[in-house]
Parts: sequence; C-alpha cells; structure tokens
Amino acid sequence: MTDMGGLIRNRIFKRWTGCILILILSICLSGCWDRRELQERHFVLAVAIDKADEGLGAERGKDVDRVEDFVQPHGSKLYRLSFQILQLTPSNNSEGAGRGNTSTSVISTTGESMLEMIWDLQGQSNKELWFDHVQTIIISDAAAKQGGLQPILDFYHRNEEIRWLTKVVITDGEARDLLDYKPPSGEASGLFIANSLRMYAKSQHVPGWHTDLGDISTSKDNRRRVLLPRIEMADDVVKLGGMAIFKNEKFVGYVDEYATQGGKLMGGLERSAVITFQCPEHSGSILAFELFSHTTKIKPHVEGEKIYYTLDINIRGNMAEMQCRLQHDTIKDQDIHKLEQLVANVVKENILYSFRIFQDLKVDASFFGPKLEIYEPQVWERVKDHWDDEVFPKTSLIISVNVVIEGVGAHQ
Amino acid sequence: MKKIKCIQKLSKHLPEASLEMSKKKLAQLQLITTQSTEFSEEIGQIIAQLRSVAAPSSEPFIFTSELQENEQLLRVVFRDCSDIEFRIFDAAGKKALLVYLKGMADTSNLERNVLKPLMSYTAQETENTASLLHLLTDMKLVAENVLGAASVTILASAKAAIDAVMTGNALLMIDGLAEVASIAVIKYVKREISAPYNEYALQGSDEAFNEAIMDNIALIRRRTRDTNLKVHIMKIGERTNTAIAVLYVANLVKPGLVEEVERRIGLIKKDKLLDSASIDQYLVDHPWSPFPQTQMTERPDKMLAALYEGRVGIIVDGTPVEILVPCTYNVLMQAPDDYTMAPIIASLIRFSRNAAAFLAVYLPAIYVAVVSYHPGMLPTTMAISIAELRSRTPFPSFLEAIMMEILLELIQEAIIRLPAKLTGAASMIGAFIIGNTVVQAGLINPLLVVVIATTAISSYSMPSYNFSMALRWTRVPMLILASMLGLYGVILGVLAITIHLCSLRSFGESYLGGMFNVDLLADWKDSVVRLPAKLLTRRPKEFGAQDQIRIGDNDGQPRS
Repeated sequence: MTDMGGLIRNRIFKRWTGCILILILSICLSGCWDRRELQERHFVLAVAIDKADEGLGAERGKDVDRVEDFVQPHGSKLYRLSFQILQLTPSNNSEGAGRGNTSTSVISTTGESMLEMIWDLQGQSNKELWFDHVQTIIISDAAAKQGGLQPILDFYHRNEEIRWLTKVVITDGEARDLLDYKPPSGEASGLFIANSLRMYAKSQHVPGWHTDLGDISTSKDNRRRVLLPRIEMADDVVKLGGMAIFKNEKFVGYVDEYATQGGKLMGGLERSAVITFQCPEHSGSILAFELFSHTTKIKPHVEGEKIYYTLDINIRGNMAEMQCRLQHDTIKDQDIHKLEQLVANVVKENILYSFRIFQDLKVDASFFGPKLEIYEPQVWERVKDHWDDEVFPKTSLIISVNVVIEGVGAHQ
Repeated sequence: MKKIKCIQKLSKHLPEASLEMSKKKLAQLQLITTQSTEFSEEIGQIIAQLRSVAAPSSEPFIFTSELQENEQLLRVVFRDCSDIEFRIFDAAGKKALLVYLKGMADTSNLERNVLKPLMSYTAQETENTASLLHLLTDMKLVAENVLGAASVTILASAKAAIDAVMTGNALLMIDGLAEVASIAVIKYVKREISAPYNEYALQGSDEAFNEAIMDNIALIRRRTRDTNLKVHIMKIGERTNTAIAVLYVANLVKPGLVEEVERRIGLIKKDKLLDSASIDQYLVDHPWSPFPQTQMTERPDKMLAALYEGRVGIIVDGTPVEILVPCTYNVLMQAPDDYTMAPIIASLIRFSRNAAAFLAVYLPAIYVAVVSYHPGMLPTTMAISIAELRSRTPFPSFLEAIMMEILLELIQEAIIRLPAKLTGAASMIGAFIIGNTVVQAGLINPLLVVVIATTAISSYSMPSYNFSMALRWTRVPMLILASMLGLYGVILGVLAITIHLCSLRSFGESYLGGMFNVDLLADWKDSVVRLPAKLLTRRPKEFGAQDQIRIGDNDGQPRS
C-alpha cells in the first residue's frame, strides 16, 4: 500500500515538476527583457538627415555644436541626424487627452554611421529611443547629392523597428527646419507630412505612388529609379509638390508638378486630377476637366533599330469649371465631342512634356523598359545594358487619348 | 467516671457498627449494583440479538402482530422525535395506531379518509361492524374497502415503513396484523412556483423550478404528453436520503448515456445532499477545471428542449437549479430568447456573445501586452494619446490592471453578498470610485477603465453564470502571462485554454471540439448561427440522438 502511494505521489510530483520547469524555461527563454511601458519610451516621429554643416539655426550658440558633437575614431563627419521626439504632456482635464496638441522636441548630432549617431543621441534623451512610429524620413538634397541614397537609407532598410510604409521626402532646404515646423493643426510635423502625403490621390502634383520606404528599398534592390516627393518650406509655409529622381542611388534632378502629373497619367495612377485648358473661342477663359478614372495601355513596337511605344489612354470625367459663359453647351453631342477632343489634346501635350523630360534626364521613370522586356525579350536582351543612357532617350511615344465626358446637362 | 463510661465506643458493644465493617458492606453493595447493571445490559443485548436473528440484517426489526409490541418498537426508533405523532384509536373494537410526522402529513386528509371511516363503525353498532371486523383481518382488504386515501401501500418491512413516515406518509397499524399500510398524505410547507431568478426570458415562460422534486417533474410533464419521457427516481445520501430524478426520452437518448449517468449518481458517497451543485462535482470528469461541465438551469422549458435533443436531465430534491448533461460550450452559449427572436437577429446576438466570451478572457491581457511590449502595433495617433494618458499614472500597466480587477471583483462580491436594499449604494460607490475618483487621482488611466469595464460587461452577457465565473477566473492567469511574456504569452494562454477546452469531456462529448469537428458542421445551424425554425429539422448530431430527424416518417423509430 505504502509503495503504491509513494509511486502515485512520485508520479504526481514528476508531472508538477515538469509543468513548473516548462514554465520557468519559457520565462527564462523569452522573459520580460523587452518590457518597456508605453510612457517609458521616446517615440521618434520623424527623422531628418542633413549635411553635417547644415541644419544650424542662425540663433544657435557656438557651444551647442560642441555639446552635440562626439569624438569619432573613423571616417569624417558627413551627416547631421536629427530626431523629432514625442514629448508626453499629461493633460490635466480628463477629457482633453489625445490628438489636439502634440508637443515634440528635436535633438541632433553629426557623424557618419547612422547607428553610431543614434546611440550618441541616446545621450540627449532620458528614455530609450524607439523607431516603431517613425512617420517620415526627410532628406535634404545636399545630403543626398553628397553620397547618394545608399548611405542614408541603408540603416532604415535594415532596422526592424521602422515600418515599410514610412514616408520618405526630399527637401531643397534644410531638413531639420521641417522638424521644428509647427503645423496649424497642432500635430507633430512628421505626422503632418506623412498624412498630407497619403492624400496623393487627391492631388496630381504629389507623386505618392511607390515612394514609401519599402518601395524605395525594392526599387533600389532591383536597380530601378527611385522617386522621392519633394517638400518645400519657406517661413511658415510647407508644401508638397514635384519630385526628385534618383538613378542608381544618385540624385539626377528635380521634376516640376506638371511633369509629375504627366508621369502619373502615363502610368495610369491618377485617381482624380484636374486638367485645365484655354477655351479656343474665348481667349483668356479657362476650362477645367475633372478626371474620375482612367486606364492606360503601353505597348512597345520594334521596327529594325527603331523602338517606339503606343500609349492608349481612356479617361472618364466631367467638366468641373467653365469660365466662358455657357458657350459650350454640354447637351449637344457635337459640343461634347469638341470638348473631349480639347481635353485629349491637353493630356497628350502633358504626357509628351513629361516623356521628354524623362528622356532628357535619361531616366525611365514610367517603366517603359520592363514593357519591352515583356513584349520583346530578344530586343531587350540586346539593349538592356545601355537602355537608360542611349536607347530610352531615342525612343518615341505615340499617344492616343480617348476622353468621355460624363454627367452632361445644362442650367436653363 | 460514669460519664466517661458513657462515651465509650459504640463498636465495643456493637461490633457490626465499626467503620471498617460499614465500608466493607458499602463496597459489597456497590459491587452488586454494578453487577446487576451488567446483567441487565447483557439481558438487553441478548434480547436485541434474539430480535435481530428474526429480522434480516438490513432491517432494524420486524413487525409482529402485537400492536403493543409494534408501538414499542417504533417508539424506540422515534425516541426523542417530538414531531412524531402516535395516534391510538379504536376501530370496530380493535386497537389501531396511526403514526405520522406532524409537519409533513396532511392531518385533515387523515381525519377524512382514515380516522373517520375506521372509527365510524365503532360509534354505532350496526350490522356493518361485523363485516368490518371481517375486513380488519387483512390489511389489503382494509386498504381496498375502508381507506379513502388516493394512494395506499401495504408494507411489511420496518425500514420501508420508517422511510415512509420520514417522507411524510402516515402509517396505519391494526392490532393482530403484522402488515402496515402507508398512506400518502404528504403535505408540507413549500415555495410556490415563481419566475426564474437568474435565467429570465423576455418572451418565454415565466415558470421556474422550485425546491420540491415532484413539482419540478410535474412542470416538465405538463409541457409534454409523451410516454417516452421517462423519470427514474433514486435515493442518494446516507443520512438525508435525498431523492434524485433522472429524466430522459427513451427513444431519443444516446444509448448508454442514461446508464452512465445513473452509474455515476450511484457512486456518490455522501452523508448529505443539499444542492444540485454538489452532485455536479461528483458527475464531472475534470473537477479541477474552472469551466462548468454540466449545464445548470432553472427553466423547465429549457430542460424539456434539451431532453428532446437527446440529453439527460437530473432533478435534485431541494434545489431549484437542475442539471443537464452532457454540456458543451455550444449549449452554454444558447439562451432561451434566441428562439423567440427573429433568426437573423438571434444569429447576430450569438455572434456578439461569442465575441464577448473572447473579450472577457483576453482583452485586459491584450491591453497589457500591447502597452508594455508592443506599442509599435498601435496606430501612431492612438499610441500618442495612450502614452499621454499613461504618463500621469505611476504604476506599470500590469499592476494597474490587477488593481482594477481586484476592485471589480470586490464590487461584484459586495453586490452579491449585500442585502438587496444596499446593493444600489454599493454599485453607486463602485461607479464613483472607478468612474471618477481613481482616474482623477491619477492612479489608473481612463483607457484601462474602459478596458476593464468592457471586460466586465462582456462576462455579464454570458447566458450561464457558471461560465462567466470561469471566464473571470481565467482572466487573471492570462494577465500574468501577458505581463511576463507579452503577446507571446497571450498566444501561449490562448493555446493552453483552447487545448484545455478541446480536451475537456462532458459525458464523452468534447467541450469545444464539436465546434471545429467537420462531421458536426451541420450543428452550426443552431450554434454559430440560429436558422429559422423551419430549417431546424434535425437534432444536433453532437449529442447522438437515436432519431436525428425531429419530424417525419422516422420519428420515434430507433435508428437501425
């Protein structure tokens, strides 16, 4: 009897020890080492990268630079890295918590390795820096011109805390100034820029397609061109518009809003756009066509050495604005067709403008090359090595635009 | 000198009066007394032995034909029971005795149907007296011809007779007869049938079980005219001898289930049975699990519906809450109102109930895990606003959550324990403490209050109170896991709970497994959603009813 009891007790004991052991092991193996409460973290909302000698406000004292700096054993001080950090302001009234006013602070340092600069910046912070919520990476074109995109963005591609959808923008001024910018909504400027960039579908002047950090990384890895939205700031005015083009991680040039719009039309990426043109009968009066949707079809053709493309565009939309006193009655068929013809011409003009700019910059921004690879692989094999520099600038584009005006009618 | 002579010792003259002598005599006397007591005890034992030789081992004694003797024997059994009434009377010249419990027998019924017919023959000597005397030679004849009571049983066994008295029957004994008649005149104070306290249905019946087992069975019987509905009454409890009824529909119930239920009830070794919940703990396979493995209900309509799905009901005397087995997660999620509402609404409510069950266990754990380990998972604006809320509170989120849980448990417990008139005050104080002061004092952030309140409300929305208690219990280990291991811990907990629920068996049926069993996919018609009544033509497969189709040619025929 006692033996049986002992055996059972032994078995139960073994089972319990096993359970407790598994529990302890699981805690030891994973444990609470990364437990860091929300309020014990410093969230970096935006990152600005300048050239080392940029990003210095006029009013900054001399000592500030010395304090911010650190001794670097290798390399030279190439970049200035600035972080916009969320500062927690406990709201005293119980209901006023949240989005209203976000207070932020900016810290910066200079150096060459991004990681080294981040670890140095920890010296200016009382809490650990976290990159989970980085919204925007702002690069000054001076820094981009200095060494290309690779040294600037490589760290952010590799870091697992930074998200795929982080927005990357380029500015021709100093990037750090944008971190100090206080949007009228009271939110942090990093959030402000990211949110306004998300509305690219509503503005044909903002290139929003494939410009997030993850897209840049895949474009970079596939050795394709990289497009970055351009942001400008003067005094209190901050505006997105136009874009910068990088080829092989090197800065090639800026492209204006009109060319950006043409590029978007070419790629079939516009979800809404406004196309304006002069009224042919009343000079000085502007008509505006609002695009609702459009589809494009690009097809390459090869005739001997000559490569040309045909681009078919179908556009649907309506007349949003007619400043020429009801001369174009949208009830009569022939009038509508006349308007459609006018819109088509303007679109054609716009696309050709962008196409020529891309050819001048020797950048295949709208992926004509890959189309050739799909339709004519043998030709592509022959030309792919000197596609951007020699072949693409010599190709031509034949555009046919089909415009349908919807929502016809007139006031009586 | 003369005087001195006078006070000489008495013992000199009377040697018998000496102190030693008297002591000796006293000792002798004492010895005789003890011996006589021993003798009397021995004699008593011999008498008892002689009696028990006559009586079978299970019986305390056997009835003799001497009424005097029988009365004596019964008085010994019922000694010190002042509520036992011995009524001696004269029935046509013969001595008769009526024994009953004063509080449990209907005396007016006894007067009308027993005393009056028997005594009336004594009062006036008629020609009937002779025939009565003839009748009084056999208890069976008495029961058939004289007694006016609805139910009379002739008993020969003393044990059965004593049991009959203790349940409220009256015992009739007539001089010269060794048999006794047990007359069913049970009537005692009990509660009226009332509305259910805990399982209120908006559009259902308002009748609920009460404490009397016969009333409860009657509530079921009244709802059906089916002879296939069987009731098997057992007596459990060494001292209380409580009646337990096992109810089932003979041609529906899964073969072997009733036998298993009765076997488990038969195995109960207990001196007293006061409530069904204590039986429940003897029936289940996993007494250490927090989850209820039997369904408790106080609604007769619910029990009847379950019986017609092939399940077994257990009614325990003295409890208004009765047991249904087998029990699965599905049946605990069904409420009577689901069947009175439009099916599409009922389906939505079923869904939200399942979601509530999930929230009630995991929501605080997910909150703690996200806030203290993975704030990157939150949208930025939300992370900012939570961080701002949290920046005022001094405690880590785990401690905060545990404090709120304790506060919540205290308020719940207080509201249950307090007299009804004070619960309002308690909940007011609770609301003020949680809703206002704790947040204003900066001890706990408002978001956590929202989380805990959502959790509490979710657990209140469970149709089964026992199940919501189980959810409350599992919440705490989940919180600890989340605070130590983050979302990894939450997932570990989800796995552990899911595996536990799938491995739980209630009378052979998997607790949660049925939901995910491809063979039982048809049961989703009345578990995940509730289809219109027209489409619910088949019984749930899960409980293995012998006849799957509710209505049709096959009805009533066992599956071949």
